[in-house]
Amino acid sequence: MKKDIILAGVGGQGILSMAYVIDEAAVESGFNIKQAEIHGMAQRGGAVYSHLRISSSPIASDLIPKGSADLIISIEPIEGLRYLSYLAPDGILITNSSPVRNIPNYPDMEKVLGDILSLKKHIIIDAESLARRAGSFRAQNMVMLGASSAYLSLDRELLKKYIGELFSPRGEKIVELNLSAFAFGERIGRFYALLLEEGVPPLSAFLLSSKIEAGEALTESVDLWGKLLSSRAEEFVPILKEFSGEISPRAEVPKKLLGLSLEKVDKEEIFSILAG
Amino acid sequence: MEKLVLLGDEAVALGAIHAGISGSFSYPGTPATQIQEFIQRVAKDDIRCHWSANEKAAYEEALGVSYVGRRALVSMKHVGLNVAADPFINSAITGADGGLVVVTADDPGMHSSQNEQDNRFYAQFAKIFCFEPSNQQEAYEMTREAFDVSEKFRLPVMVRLVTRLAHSRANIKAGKGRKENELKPTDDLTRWTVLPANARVRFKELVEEQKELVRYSEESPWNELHLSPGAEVGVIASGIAFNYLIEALSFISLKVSYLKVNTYPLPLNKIKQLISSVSELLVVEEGYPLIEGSLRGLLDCAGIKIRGKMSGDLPITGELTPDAVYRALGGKERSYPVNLSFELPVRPPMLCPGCPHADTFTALKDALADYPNARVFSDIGCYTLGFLPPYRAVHSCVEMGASIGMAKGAAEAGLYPSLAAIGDSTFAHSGMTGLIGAAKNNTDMTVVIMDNEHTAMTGGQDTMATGDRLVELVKGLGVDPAHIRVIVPLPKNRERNADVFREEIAYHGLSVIISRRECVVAARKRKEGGEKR
Repeated sequence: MKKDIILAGVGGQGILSMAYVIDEAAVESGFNIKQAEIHGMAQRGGAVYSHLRISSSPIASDLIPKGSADLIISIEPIEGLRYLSYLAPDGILITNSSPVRNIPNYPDMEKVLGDILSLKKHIIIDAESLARRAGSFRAQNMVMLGASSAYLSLDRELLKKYIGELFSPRGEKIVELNLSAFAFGERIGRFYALLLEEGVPPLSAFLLSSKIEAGEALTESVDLWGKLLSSRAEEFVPILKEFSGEISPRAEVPKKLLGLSLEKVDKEEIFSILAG
Repeated sequence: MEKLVLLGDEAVALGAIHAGISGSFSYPGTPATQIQEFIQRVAKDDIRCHWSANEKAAYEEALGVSYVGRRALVSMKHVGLNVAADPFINSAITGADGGLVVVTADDPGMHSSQNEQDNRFYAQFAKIFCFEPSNQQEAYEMTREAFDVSEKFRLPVMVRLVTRLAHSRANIKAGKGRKENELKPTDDLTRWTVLPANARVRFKELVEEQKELVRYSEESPWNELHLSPGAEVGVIASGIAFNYLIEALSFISLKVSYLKVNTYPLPLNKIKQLISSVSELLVVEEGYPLIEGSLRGLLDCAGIKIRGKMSGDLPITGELTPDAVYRALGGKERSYPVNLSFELPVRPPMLCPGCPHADTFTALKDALADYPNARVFSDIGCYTLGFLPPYRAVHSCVEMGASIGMAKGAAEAGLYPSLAAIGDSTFAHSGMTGLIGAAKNNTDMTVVIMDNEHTAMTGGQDTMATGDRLVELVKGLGVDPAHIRVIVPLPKNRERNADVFREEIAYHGLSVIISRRECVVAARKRKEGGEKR
């Protein structure tokens, strides 16, 4: 087992907290780790990254060589792209779509999303809105950890255990909040990946997964959504864009929509179906 | 054996604790800070480990511990050793009674520093033994050994880290701790009193002892010579660079012989053995080309083709990477194809939202609007970021404490208004000495001390003088109390604060304005309780 991971984000987003959880879970699983991080001047609201290596054999370098990272986990869309050269040919970028615009020349968001969506292997989710739904804007790191959990080759219960350890000094409520953020990220990340597997175009998959409620039964509706969006994307994408509420995760929603011919139905009615 | 996951810094700290230190001394500085913080976290009750006012003070305190026969660790970032250079160099003359280990955490690539000086040269300069570990396990073990070496040769010993080891975690196995030494103040007063007559004797001894240090290095199993029969290429790889060599070799089929270097003075015979078995030598080392330069000498007559930083095969500035070593070994570019449709903007560090420094700067800039010639000499701290837009409020940054000295010099050379901007921690570190001179001469300058109650840049450590204590200190240095003003940097006070700046700039003598509000990050940390990281 070998996993080379680059964690990326902006100072203050909680890269080191993410690293803590992965490190401890990996070590408890009996693996070797090396994890290089950034402190001091380099941290204050600037670009931050960490190289995290997990292996069952000894690890030589603290830094990951270019072209060899199994995954990049990024809490900020352009920060993940910053380290793209480190990705292995079959590596995956798992990124938040919400930008941190603390620089005057932040690039055009459509171009940023376009570049991410065109990557061969990627997962993109709106961690900011999921973190808010979990109870705090600051839990975006745990959302992204959740979205990455299936790619770490680590027991998710161990990850959850160390999320508990990490936040326990701040009280039970904060622990719960971060565990929900983790669960939301896990579900939406998986939902997005499954949509792509169903042949849904990335943009449609992203639109749907950023608006759907992160319910437990979410993945049950994936094949129906897949059918709907891979065959009738042109019809539904404008509606998804326009819909401002939270889409119900229940399987009846895509089932009902599949039976509808959009020209004949009022937009308000479609919206009410989406809301469940 | 206890299994742990530790930063390189923490591994050094644990090594020192297990070596039985009685005291640990430091001033916060990236990437060394976590050494002292680890000791404070795990051994506060047994080891004296509060912060020192600056690195010179820290070194002298450690030297005092050694004088009474006990073991001391003193740690600092690379440029900290410039501040402590006087006691450091002279401690090689006095020597050590109790084991004395100085850890320098160098910052190649300047992640959080103003230069990338390589402190292995300091060890060479002072003529002391130096360990340069390659990984966290070695950092633990070599630090322990460094104390024994210090007592064996009765000399201080250096342990050199670089950022990528200091701030990288790995699993380590630790042994059992040793007890601290008995209190036994030295009887060797001649050795410890460097009057010229005494120092001449000691310096001669020190020079003669070098042979013994070389022999120890030569025999050290850390310096592993690996001869691969038939290999044309030899590599000398020191410290963390050795990891990059091993990593690079996993991507390339190339037979090499190598010497892993972890101690200085250099193990000369092992180097000779390596050179005699290969036709080409690559030297990989993090920092300046110390080994490469020594091998080349002025006349470059080592009799073998040497490649490294000086030949351009490896970058001579910035940080070494596994990729750079891979390329130097002839590897082809390995990189994921990157075709972005936009230009990636840089994202420099900046002041945090709500930072008190921001409010100090906006008020100060208001006051300076009428003085296009004004210069604000800044110092080392978060507030150095005031150089960047949108503030553009400060005009220099050189080293710890420079602001006050430079503002005084510039004022005396005719600059008006001449201002200094310095934090409370940096002021106690080395701003005070400059201010005492400015007070004595009542120099026409304005000093702004930004008191945020912490050493914020390095994570919010306690400072020596904050709040009322700082005001008393400034008074005590001789500044006219009528021109010591305290303001609270908040958006709502902007106009009032700008007026205070205007009044004191208009006063043709020395003024000190203390801008006092707690660092927002430290305040939040204090309220939320501890964090795991």
